Amino acid sequence: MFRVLEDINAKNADAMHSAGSAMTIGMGVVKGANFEADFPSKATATDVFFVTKEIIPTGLNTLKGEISDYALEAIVAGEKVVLVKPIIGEIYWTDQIDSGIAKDDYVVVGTDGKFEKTTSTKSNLKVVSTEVKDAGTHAGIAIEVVDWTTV
Amino acid sequence: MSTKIEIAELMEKNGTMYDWAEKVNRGASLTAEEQEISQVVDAWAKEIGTKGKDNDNEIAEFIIKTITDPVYNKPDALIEKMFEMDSIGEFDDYVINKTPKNTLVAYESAKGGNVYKSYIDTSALTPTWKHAQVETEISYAQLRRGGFKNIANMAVFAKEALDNKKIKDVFSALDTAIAGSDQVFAVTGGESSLTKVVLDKLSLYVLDHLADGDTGIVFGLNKYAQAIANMSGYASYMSSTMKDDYNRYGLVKEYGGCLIGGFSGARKAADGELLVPDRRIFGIAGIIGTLCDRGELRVYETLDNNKERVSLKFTGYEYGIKITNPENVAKITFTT
Repeated sequence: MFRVLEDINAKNADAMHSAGSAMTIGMGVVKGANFEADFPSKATATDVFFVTKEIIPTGLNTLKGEISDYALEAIVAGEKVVLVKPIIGEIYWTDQIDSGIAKDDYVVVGTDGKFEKTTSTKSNLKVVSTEVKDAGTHAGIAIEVVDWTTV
Repeated sequence: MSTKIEIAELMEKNGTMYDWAEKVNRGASLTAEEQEISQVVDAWAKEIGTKGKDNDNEIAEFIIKTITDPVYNKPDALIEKMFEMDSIGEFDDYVINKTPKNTLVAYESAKGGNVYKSYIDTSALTPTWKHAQVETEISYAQLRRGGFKNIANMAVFAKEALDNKKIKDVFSALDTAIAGSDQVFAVTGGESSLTKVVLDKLSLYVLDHLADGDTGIVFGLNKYAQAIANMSGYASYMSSTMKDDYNRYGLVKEYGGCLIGGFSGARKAADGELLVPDRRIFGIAGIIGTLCDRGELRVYETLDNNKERVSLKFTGYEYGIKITNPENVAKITFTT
């Protein structure tokens, strides 16, 4: 899942791309050839985007009145997605993370699309909190986009 | 158009909007009038979701109308007993003039001479001001799909989140105000270690500080209120009415001249913290301070047509807390 904690209003949200493989809302991707959103070939924070989509129930779920966003967070390969570019000053929340991330760590997007702690590359994604829970229950990390730093 | 005006008139009536939002929130059945409100709200919610424009700021207007409804503005009964409630304008400030302590001294003296003069010093207290804010967003798709339901829920939840924050701050201010060692009675262990001896000390403290005609209040989380009835040796003091109360409500209602209040341990703020501090039983002897609201809650909405979302900002929820009579509270603390 992907949540905006603080963001710049009215920036563009790129909806030109399709998922290159099965993924989950809140993962990090890079733009690939033929308007595909792919996982990076090696862990990076350069030109990464959060992948998301408008959460609209489909199929039998349309019959249900209220449905959790988490029930609809899967993205199948080939599905059109919205790419959100993290800009300096913004704060985001995601639960698509590897374990072992602590506050003040810098993260990058791994080859599986999940955010992981970086030890040797440069990054501008700083973990400002591991305590923020989405909807009071879902654990994740709050990422602030900061100036580029070599870790 | 005429329906819209009728509904607007209906919305002006005290209580209508809050009742409606609460009912939608709980999923209770609506009256014919309330269904019309739903239809009107649904219509504009869907229109905003379709056109990406909210000309009359209807979302903000509506939410303000709902949560400033006089019916909603009922303060918590217990807080009302503990605090003097007040409200001031957004740009005003507030000073509490405490009734001064009588420090005039009477000396024994010979007739026809002087004794030492003694003086009274007045003091002014300023409350601690806190400002709370909630922000959230609704997607246009949600507005088109859920319509009025989303708006109603949002209004009730935003207000509840802010109120919970205030209640939490009030109780933590209360907790920290109790400094003196004669106001703190420590119990080693959990709620089952509560004894009649300790609770008697607390109720005695409360009774000693009680003004004539006031009733002392002892409160804590439900588990501590429940533990009072189960203290060893206490059953023999319980009247049959109290035993009935215990069996019927799970808690006794009075102890040693004080009313007993229990707070739900399941009622938590959205961040998972308890509204009333754990491991505490508080004893309150009358008014202990002032709780002042400053200004009015404001709602701002920002529509983002690129992302197809409405950002909502609930701000201006400002309140000042001052414990003016810390001697009127005491507490029992538990170590686990």
